[in-house]
Amino acid sequence: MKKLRLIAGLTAAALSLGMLTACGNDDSGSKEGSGKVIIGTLDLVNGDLIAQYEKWYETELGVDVEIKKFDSGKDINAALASGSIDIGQEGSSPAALAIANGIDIEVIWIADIIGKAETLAAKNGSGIETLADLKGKKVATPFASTAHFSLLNALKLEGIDENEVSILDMETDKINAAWQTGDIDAAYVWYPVLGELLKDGTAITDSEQLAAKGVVTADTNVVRKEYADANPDVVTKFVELQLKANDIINTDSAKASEEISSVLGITKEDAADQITQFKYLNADEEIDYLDKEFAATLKSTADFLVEQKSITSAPELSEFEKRVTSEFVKKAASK
Amino acid sequence: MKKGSGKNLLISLITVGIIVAAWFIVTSTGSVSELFIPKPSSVWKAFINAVNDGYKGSTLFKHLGTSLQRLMIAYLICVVTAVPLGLLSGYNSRIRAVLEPIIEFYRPLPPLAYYTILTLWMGIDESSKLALLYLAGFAPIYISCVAGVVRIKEDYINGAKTLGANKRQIFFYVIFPAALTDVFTGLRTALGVEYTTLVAAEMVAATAGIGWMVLDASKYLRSDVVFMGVIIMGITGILLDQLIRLIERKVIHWKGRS
Repeated sequence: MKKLRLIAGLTAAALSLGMLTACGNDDSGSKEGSGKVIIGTLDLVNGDLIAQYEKWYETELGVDVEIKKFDSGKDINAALASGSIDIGQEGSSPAALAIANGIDIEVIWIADIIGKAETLAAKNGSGIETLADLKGKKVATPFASTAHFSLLNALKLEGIDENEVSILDMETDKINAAWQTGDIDAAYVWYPVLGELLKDGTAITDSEQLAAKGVVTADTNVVRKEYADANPDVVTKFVELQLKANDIINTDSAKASEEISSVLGITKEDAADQITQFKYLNADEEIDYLDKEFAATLKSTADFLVEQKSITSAPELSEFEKRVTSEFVKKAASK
Repeated sequence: MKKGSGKNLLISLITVGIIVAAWFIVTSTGSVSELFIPKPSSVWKAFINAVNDGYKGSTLFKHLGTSLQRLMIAYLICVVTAVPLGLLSGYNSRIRAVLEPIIEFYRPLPPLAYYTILTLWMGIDESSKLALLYLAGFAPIYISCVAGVVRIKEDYINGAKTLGANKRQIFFYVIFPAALTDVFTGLRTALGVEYTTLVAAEMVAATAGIGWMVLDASKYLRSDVVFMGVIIMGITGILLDQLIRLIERKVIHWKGRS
């Protein structure tokens, strides 16, 4: 018995030490020059889906490609931190969180600026017609997402104390179920669930209106700094493909919605409708955003999270400026 | 006290000491990001903050209290339903035949798999959380109660019969006390299983609870709060287990001296 305990103790100690070293040096991600890239995607409605449909990643990046699907920016962050993926897609809120928490990443691409695609929908018959009516009601949103950020800002702009609203944390599929059973009165959420909710719901406000008031949310692509330093060509090519995809969305929306609908398994009409609810940038606009406003957008997002006591502190603007780079867009555009 | 248990306790304490020391040493070099392993001082600070100012609207004790309340309510319902049903099923094979297929089916299911169904049926509020915890705790108690009764030596029952005991008397004076050891094994297991299900139960639409706190903190990459929450859950789990053992020792004072 004595021996057993000792062995158990030693094993535990060895395990914890092993874990510590493993954390410091995770080798599941792609190594320098290993000729492989692991891309994490959320299947958001933007150029990424065009690239997936056209199989550009597999054929044009020039390295082995593995695409992993994720459900939230939170999971993307965890995967980036542990080195399980090299390039990831996430909203501006998770990206701000990642930078504030010292995950070694760079924002290389703004995949879309979120417009009506994220909307606060209230269930018909709930008696909610304006933001002020939310008092005492149940509103669901996935916490730490761009939608959550938008909801809290919408309340703040209206001067409503968020403690007067019952804000519930749910993943999008749960929101759909809770809406159908009448458990919630409203939800700030994105497609495809948003489409379901609007069938018997009304839009109260959306991210386009909030953006006009200075609360900008966007979807980004980020890369592990270590990977970008070692494989700049792959990253440049990746950005070039996004530029090419945005070009299709902005010039040939029929083709774009056809391809997006095929990847997502939704109707062509829905896809066509959804792409009008984002803004997709061309090379000049990308460079402009990445060089000027975007670091400040991320900084204000992080500051808001500090105000919410979700994180303890946010770094200076200069840190965000360092983490947002137009380098790859410039290189890709000049080709 | 068993022979040598003092020495074993010492060894266990040394193990804990080594792990904590390793934690201090590894984080003190600064080579490991606080995201992976926060410094003990950061975790302590998160603890103090949560006790004084609270985490997202509730103090730490309120989070813990909310969780323990959920746990205890579900557990009590478990005890009052699963123990009698288990003992009866052990005593009467017909009753067992009715209940066993249901329990054998859902017992190995991961709680998250059927939690979605529960939230659909019962809504996202407390009742679906309690139901999940209840189902998690029911099976272990039921199964060990059945086992406890089935295992009783025929001699005991026959002996009581010879002395003129009726069925009811046999149940309360022979079967129940004889099965108690197994009942308590079930009670301990059930509390453990319920406790591990707690985080799952607080995944949907909770705004307080120790499991929710850890989940929410992980969304914001607050490793200090996550570590703090996990440590508190661990300690609470040990305390709950010790509590059941204490009750067991009081109730079955004859244990180990049969």
